[in-house]
Amino acid sequence: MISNKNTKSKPSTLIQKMMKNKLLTLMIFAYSALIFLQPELGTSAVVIAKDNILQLLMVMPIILAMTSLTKAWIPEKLISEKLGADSGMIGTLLAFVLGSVSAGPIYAAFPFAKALLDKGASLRNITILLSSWAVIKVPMLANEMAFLGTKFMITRWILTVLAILLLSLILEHIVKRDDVLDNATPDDQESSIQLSTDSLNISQDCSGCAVCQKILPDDLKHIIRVEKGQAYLESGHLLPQNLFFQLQKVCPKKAIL
Amino acid sequence: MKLIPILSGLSIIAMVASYFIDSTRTKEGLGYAFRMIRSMAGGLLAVMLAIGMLLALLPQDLLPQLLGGNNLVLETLGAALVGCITIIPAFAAFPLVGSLSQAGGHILPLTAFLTTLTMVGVATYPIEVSTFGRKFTLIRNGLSIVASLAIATIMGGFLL
Repeated sequence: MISNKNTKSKPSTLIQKMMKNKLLTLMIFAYSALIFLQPELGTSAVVIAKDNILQLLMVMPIILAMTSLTKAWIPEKLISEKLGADSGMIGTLLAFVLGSVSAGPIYAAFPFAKALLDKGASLRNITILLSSWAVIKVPMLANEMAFLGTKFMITRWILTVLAILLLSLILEHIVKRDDVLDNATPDDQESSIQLSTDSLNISQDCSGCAVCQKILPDDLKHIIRVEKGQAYLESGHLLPQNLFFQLQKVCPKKAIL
Repeated sequence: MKLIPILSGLSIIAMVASYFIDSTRTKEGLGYAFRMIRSMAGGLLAVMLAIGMLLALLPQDLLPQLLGGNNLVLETLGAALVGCITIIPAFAAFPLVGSLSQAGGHILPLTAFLTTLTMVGVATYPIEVSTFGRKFTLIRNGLSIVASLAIATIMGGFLL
């Protein structure tokens, strides 16, 4: 009875998981085939992969601690308020810090950076934020060190910081604020997030409580679908950015990423 | 490499200190970090397996031929270009570049690849244009390519 209910509530978990991580699925099949057809090559592939994975596990505690500590102690709100045109050295420094401690791919930074720009942050600081978000990940430094060596990591880090500073200065001279702000498309679209499966997702921490659905206005409720213990975002819809941030805030499991 | 045990020790001390100062905050931060790592774990494992497969299947002398520094200018430009269009999380890029370097790749093209990989996004170009406009996007990405090549060149000089 119970097992029956379980299979019903998660009808295709394995297939869903396989679809979600196509590369991993492909790799598992490829490895099986290789070990079966060419056992020697298969073994050496496994050995190389195992070595790399062990090396990564070695730095995992550092990455974990650095991410936890920055999340716990860096007041993001305070920083985001101090990125204006007259912020000078402190603004530059904050843009660097904010960019390099954030987790997530660069496209996650675009809406955030745009929100800061609208709030009066300077183009220079926004460029610094975006670039350092992309290149300098503090927790990733440990990773870079493990695989490429301390000397490589430090040299690259220093050069990258210098390059970003220079890049932001040049960009500020060529691009004017209006070029960026004029880009605002009509109908408030610029402050909206286009929902697609790769830009946003709800992690498996979701308990299906549907609180997120409750705070949406009636005409938007359909973009969230809740099925037994897990909510899904329907792709292809536009969601105003402030609403999206509200969703993130209100989620008790912090499962909206 | 000796830095890693030291940093691990420091991380543990910092976490314990943070826990004593504010246990709720620390737990929240740790939860966030765990979720972040868990969400990356599958993709990361896949990339590690892909690297293993790639290095095992490629003929031993192919990589040194392609990226070994026989024609540095061409190799670096090529690697930078590949970096622009590839989407690999930076997290997984370091092991990849490390393996390629050990397999005989030259540091200059590899650094160019690493930097364009993270800084320049052909795949994210449409999103960036719709957020910041074409001019900003083109200039930011263009300058980033120049910066990547400059960084790689200087790195090549430093670490040879």
